[in-house]
Amino acid sequence: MNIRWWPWGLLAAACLAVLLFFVLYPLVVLFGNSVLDESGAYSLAAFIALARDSQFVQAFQNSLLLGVVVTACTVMVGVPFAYMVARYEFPFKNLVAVLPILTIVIPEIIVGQSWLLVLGNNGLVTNWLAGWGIELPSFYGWTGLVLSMTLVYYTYIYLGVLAALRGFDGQLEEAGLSLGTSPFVTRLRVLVPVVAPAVLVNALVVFTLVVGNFALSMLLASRVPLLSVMTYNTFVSEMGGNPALQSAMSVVSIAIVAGVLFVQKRVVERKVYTMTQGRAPAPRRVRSGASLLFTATVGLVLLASLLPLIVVFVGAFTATSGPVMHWGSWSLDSLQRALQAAPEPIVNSLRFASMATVVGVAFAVLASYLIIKKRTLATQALDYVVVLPLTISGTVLGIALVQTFNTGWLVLAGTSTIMVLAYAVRRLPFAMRNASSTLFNIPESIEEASISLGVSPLMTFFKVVLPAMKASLISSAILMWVTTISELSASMVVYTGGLETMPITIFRQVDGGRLGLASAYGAALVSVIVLPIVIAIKVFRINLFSTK
Amino acid sequence: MAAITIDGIVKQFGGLTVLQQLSLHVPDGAFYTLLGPSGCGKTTLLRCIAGFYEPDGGRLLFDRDDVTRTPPHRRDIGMVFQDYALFPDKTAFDNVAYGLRARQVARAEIARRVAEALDKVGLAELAARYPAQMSGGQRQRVALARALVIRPRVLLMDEPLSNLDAKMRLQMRDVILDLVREAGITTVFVTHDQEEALAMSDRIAIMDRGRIAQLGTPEELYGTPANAYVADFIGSANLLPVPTTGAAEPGRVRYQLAGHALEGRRDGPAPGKGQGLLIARPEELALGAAAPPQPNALPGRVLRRQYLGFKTAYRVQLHDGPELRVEQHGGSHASAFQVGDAVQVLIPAHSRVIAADNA
Amino acid sequence: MKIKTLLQCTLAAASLVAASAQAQTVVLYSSNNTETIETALNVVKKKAPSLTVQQVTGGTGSLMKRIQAEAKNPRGDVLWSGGFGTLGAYKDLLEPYKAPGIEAIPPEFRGPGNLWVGTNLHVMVMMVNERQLKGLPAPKTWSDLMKPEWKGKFAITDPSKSATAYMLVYGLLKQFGKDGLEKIAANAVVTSSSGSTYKGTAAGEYPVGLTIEYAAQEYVAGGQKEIKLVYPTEGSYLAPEGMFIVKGAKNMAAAKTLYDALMSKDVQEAELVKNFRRPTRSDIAVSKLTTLPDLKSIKIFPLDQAQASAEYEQLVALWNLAVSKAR
Repeated sequence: MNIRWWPWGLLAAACLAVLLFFVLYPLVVLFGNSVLDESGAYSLAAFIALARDSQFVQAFQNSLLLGVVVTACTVMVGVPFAYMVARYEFPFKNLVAVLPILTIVIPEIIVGQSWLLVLGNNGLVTNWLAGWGIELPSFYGWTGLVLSMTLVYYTYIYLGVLAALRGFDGQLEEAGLSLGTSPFVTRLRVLVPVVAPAVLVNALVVFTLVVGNFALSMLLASRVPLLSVMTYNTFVSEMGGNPALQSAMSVVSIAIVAGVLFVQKRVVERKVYTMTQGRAPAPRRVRSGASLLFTATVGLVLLASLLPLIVVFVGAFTATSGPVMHWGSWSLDSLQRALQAAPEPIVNSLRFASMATVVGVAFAVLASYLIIKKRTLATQALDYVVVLPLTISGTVLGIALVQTFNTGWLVLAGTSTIMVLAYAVRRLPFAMRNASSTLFNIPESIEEASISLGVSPLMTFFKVVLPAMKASLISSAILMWVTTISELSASMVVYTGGLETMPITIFRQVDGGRLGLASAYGAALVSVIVLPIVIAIKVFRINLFSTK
Repeated sequence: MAAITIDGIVKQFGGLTVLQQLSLHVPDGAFYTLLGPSGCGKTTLLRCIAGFYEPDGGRLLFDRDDVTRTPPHRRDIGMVFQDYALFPDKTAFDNVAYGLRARQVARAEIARRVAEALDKVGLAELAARYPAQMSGGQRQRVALARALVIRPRVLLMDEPLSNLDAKMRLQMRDVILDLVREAGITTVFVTHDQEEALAMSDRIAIMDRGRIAQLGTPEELYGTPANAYVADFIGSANLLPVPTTGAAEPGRVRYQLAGHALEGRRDGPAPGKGQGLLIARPEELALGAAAPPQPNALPGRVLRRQYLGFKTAYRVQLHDGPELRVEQHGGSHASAFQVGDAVQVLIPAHSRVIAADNA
Repeated sequence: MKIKTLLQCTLAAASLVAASAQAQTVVLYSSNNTETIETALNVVKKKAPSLTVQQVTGGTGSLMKRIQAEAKNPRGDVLWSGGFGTLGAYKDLLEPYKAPGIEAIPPEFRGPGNLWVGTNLHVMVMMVNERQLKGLPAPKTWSDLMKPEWKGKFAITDPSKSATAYMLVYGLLKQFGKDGLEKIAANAVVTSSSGSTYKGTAAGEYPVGLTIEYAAQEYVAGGQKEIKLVYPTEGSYLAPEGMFIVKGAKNMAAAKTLYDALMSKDVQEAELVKNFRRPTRSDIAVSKLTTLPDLKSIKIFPLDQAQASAEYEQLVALWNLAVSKAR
């Protein structure tokens, strides 16, 4: 393809340059710092120190084990649930459509906090059961980690498997039946091998998310050393000093994710099968006895997913004395404090999230357009670099950004710019995925028609392509908004005093034992997240989750 | 190999009755085709025979076994689907072996029979390939091999050739027929392509809105269509309402067309004076120059002309009569007419007239 | 990139405008929690109504590092509060100021050369969660915790992560020597923040937490009946916290006003009553205003704050050694 410099060649180069500078360069700096010692000479001292630190080794093993266990649990929850929804018809089934929305809307930190309020050692349910003589195991540590993470991550498996089941050609199963295998054996031999890759791909995603998880780990892992927690703590204590250890730990985290991605590319994606356009089998009505079970299951899952929301709002209106919650007594104090006396976190969150959304969506649309419609070497490189942030946890990304932009000619540390930057970079891949899938379906011919009628290519982009993408733009914006405003792990690393966002404040209040105030901020956060979604769905009639 | 008896099958979807008390008997080893436009119920009937739909009324028998309520995986059928339904995660070999493995056949035996089946469809060297690496025609043949290798009692085929290009379609017709004849399997074939049906079938059941409009050999359906629907579906026909003026002899009837008194063939009882429907096949009408005028030839003018290589199709407007479609086969220039030419049309005396209410 | 530069410029311009709009503004860097700051500032507002306080919150460590980074161009005016040891390590960032009425604060709670003044006196105590004791007798002394049956049953914060925890561990070393310290390290569960220790104890994760008096008292006063505050009979350790004015502060006059106010009897009383922060002032009757005992009725094991700060590196190393021995 001809590389014409104006306008697309130039823009592609500019996008690439921006990404290389803000994504690739910090990663390079991070890697560099991990192999430099205090005198500036190359050395593997940091890695050796890590290998010798039994606490680190323990954390490493724990993180991997936690990843495996949680992944297994999410598969055990997500797969049967998806199968149930795809293949059966039962009362109240349409409530499940709410689930993916809930998972996105409720930030992790609120999930963790709420479950603590309910099942923690001093939790509502724990105390209630203790009154009956039933002692629940401590929610801190493995129990709480596995339970809360499973609840937060199962939707990845659920949605992935649901899509695979819905795209599965029912005729394959009929072919199996016609050849003599019973329905059960047919599903085993025909359905499972074809749907398995979808499960695996999403399972690997869940694994990397668990290993890099910040909020729930920090909240619940008190006696369980974990990689993500250790990395963050090392960063905090090394601040201003030699960043070797934190860099080395970050590199280890990146290595784990890279390893998982490698496995995914080589082993799993080879087995993803394209199927001819077939009809999925229509959902079957379930007999009344079983239908009760199905509805109950959906109800249970829904309730577990909704619980954090309910608890947060109840907690926001509950009276407190210092750190003690007086359940049953109501008060507006916490809310008043959050909204009136100390609303800076709310303002900050709104500011940063809006800026990040605008920057992110604009960049995503432009970059997607270039990658899909104007393929050149530069745009292909763009395609790969954009995906990089997906591979690293927020903590690691934050560390890389701080190390890079703390000194030198461009000092962004301590400014809002670095917050906005961290958000935009982290969530860019999602906005791009969204934009890309829409752009795929916009045929070249409409642009050519516009050009043939005398409108320049650049103006065609604004007059023809963008309007055609309107729905996608809105849903990208909302997705970016929702995910940046609840971002925590990169924020915690990158922020400085005065720049706290709502998630940071919630975290710090929970850390300080102020659960009432934390709930108040939490309620504000959830409200600010839900509002645009409600507007999008009701007013603009956009289905946010069709292009996942 | 089994004969299939369909006895009064009824099938409803929601409030719609798709199959209406349908009965059909397919003799052991015969190749029967269900033919009709989309929505006529042919696929529904096939799926009832397969067992994927349970009929709401009636019975289904393979030989003497009542299989009406037997689930599909126990009916011992072989089915070829419209888009082949090959298992994408399995090689050609494993696809074909699937049914044998389900029947607990020994491994060595499986290897032998699969190799034989693939060989018969000419794909012996593709045994290790995956469906994604095969062309449409190759996949079709694997699907066929898979259905036949298990030696089922009946073979069911649901528009298996619709997704192939024209040339491949013709080739596969022969492949299917050869294999089926050799195995002697009772076959029910569904298609909407009448040429395919005519070429391949022992008998054809033309279906119309859940009923069988006519069951017969290709010659019967083409030569003696029972009603206008069948006449129009098989081949093409000019269907002309004509007043009948009584019978001349048994099997003959007189009628009026474009001011001429003509005679034609009839089946069934004498129509007497009344309305009839003349079935005049375009390729049987003779087209000649306007002069000299022939007795029983109807004068007219050429409205349109389409040259199609092996034939030329005309639309002729009769003076005092309707438009007729006429076809001339062969490329002889001498008999070619142009638009606007005055011509005369001769309707052969063996053209059939059926009673109007038979339509 | 253009957008970001534009944003940066806009933000800078906006903050300039904002800064010039207010006359009596002071920037407070504080590591205290929301209620503590709120309590103080409510009183300050009555004492100095024209003063506008802009808060920047964060951990003491990170705030100190920030002040250090900003040394050439300080953006903060007052820091409240930090442990004496921490403050001592950053002497050249502090502006000496002798506030009027400073006599009310005993000399041992003032910084050398008036570089800082203590505002709160933290007493390190044992916070006991009776419901989690499960048969174990409630501990009365530090030595109790060195017994084998207490292995894994009490929490202590990593001294390198908290100034108050540092004083506790330093005190244990001075009182019980290396052996005693190793016995404690062998039995303790080490947390990474003060918050984790007292929250964990309150939540029932540990039967005992070695923590700060006010943190434990908040739960007691809040109505959590199973929480008890125990002053070890062998003696508690003091960890005073103080505030200072940043050297070269831009709003020096406002800073001094704030300093005076934070030191005042009104603020310190309010903090005691609302947030259980023991005052450094000698003119406040603690036992009359709260259920907490007066300082003179608590057995204190005396420690030299300046020496404690000087021995920081050795102590942390010693502690880490003790902890790794125990694993």
